[in-house]
Amino acid sequence: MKFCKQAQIFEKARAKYTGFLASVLWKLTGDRELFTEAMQYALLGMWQHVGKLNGKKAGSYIYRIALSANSKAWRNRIGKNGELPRNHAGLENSPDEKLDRDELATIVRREICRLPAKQAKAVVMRYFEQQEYQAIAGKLSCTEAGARSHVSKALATLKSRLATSP
Amino acid sequence: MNDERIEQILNMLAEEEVPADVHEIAEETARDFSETLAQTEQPKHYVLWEYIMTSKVTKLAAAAVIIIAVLAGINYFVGSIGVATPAFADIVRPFLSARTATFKSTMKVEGAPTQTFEGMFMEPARMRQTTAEGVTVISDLQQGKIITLVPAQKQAMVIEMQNIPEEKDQSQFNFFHEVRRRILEAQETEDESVEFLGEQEINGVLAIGYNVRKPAADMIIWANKETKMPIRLEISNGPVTNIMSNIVFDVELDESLFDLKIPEGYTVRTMQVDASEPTEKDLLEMFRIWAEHMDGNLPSVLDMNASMEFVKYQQKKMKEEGQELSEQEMMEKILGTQKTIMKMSRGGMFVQQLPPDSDWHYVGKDVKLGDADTPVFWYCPKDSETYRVIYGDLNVKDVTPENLPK
Repeated sequence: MKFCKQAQIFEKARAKYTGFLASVLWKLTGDRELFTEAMQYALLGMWQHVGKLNGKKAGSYIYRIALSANSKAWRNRIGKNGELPRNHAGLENSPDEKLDRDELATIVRREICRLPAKQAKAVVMRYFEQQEYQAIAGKLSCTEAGARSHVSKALATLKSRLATSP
Repeated sequence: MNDERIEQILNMLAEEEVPADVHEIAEETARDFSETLAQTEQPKHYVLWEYIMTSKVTKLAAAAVIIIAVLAGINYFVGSIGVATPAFADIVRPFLSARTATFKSTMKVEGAPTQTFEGMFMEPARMRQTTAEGVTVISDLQQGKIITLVPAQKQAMVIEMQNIPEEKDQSQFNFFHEVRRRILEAQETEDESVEFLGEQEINGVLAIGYNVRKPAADMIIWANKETKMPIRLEISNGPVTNIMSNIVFDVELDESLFDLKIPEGYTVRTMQVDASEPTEKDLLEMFRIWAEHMDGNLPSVLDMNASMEFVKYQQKKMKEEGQELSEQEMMEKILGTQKTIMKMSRGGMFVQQLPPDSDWHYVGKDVKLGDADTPVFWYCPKDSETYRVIYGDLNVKDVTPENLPK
């Protein structure tokens, strides 16, 4: 595909999905620095796979790009052992963050990025985008029961990881 | 914990409004990316190269920035610091006495996104700097070693400094040592180079500031007015501004933070760097390498703008050559560029270490390597009655002051 055609598709996709990416990535990161990095990875992903943003499955593919970008950003943030750096700015030392709820939210965000791809997508679509299972099934190319299964497996995985989380 | 609790948390995240400034960040990031595309009009990997070199999504490039800053000598912290008032002596004291320190380092380079590092210093000469992306550079100048770790790609680079003269002051390789050296120097030779800037509120703290003047290399120190503790240090040199903030002295740091051992599973590249005293020969070598990579031209300037000029030209050349590089090849290219810049940095160090009375001049802009008739650089060596003049063909002649180029 020629550059100008690629750029045209990219610009169209950028206009269409920037708001979506901002919403999903913010909910998945909750931290401006991490968000910016995830956003940059998402844009790189869009450009590298620009051809796939021009078809019927573009709506589904953008979830894959967003989740992959989120994972990359989190991977850079968390250590090999999966723990957050102790002194990372913005993730601790604030009185609010000592609240149990916010700590759990941070852990949930971190753990979503480590879920299997379909489970992560299903959780984002179901909870962050408030989509019906039928729509999720369409985007994941599975049955409605399959979509429900992905969501419930994701919840089970999150539950077990939260139980063992430091 | 039950499923309901998990669902509550997920719903809470879902209901969270996206702050207005986050939308702005998203829009700005997307616009920046589109501008990069528009400027390049090149296949995908070129965009990736340019983006890696200029974006916050910077891995090895970020490490390169730190290493170049270290190896090029943080010599832009130059200038004798006069002890203009007793308060100035008070606010610089912690720099002299600290055994350890932590700080945030912000490097602003014109035309490139701001880079921030979390920095740590431990005596006698150890430094650790980590970018937001997790790239870590650890240096121990007593051991003559600098390592760069890129966890995301499990890449490590080891720089071994060779020929370190025992008597040589290594302070130019270490931020804290350099600041200390200048302060000590200033205490011996009090002059008028320090200007009191008055009071200013910095992050809610009433601060007093001093500007340590030096042509093209000002250093500003701000300290808490009440406690006299330094809270911010700014150094500008050409297109580069380095800001040190969140400074905490004598904090408890684990020795292991400065461990130079490479973690298992990393791909290691090792590079030897000559750390001997730079000489005129290094400057000649710099001109030669520069011309080799810059289509026969000599540098436009001899300051921090030079490395920017070099990198931008390499990007332009890559596009013109029309190579389609894989990500791996691109990383190799970045490393190669970094290595070349480091080799050339010795020439820059030679110039930066020349004393003020050396009266050096550089006029090599638009001169091609091989031009035997055009003088490009001249300086007066210590205790010499004649100047050394370098010509475009890298020939060097001793010239009396009255016969210097006009």
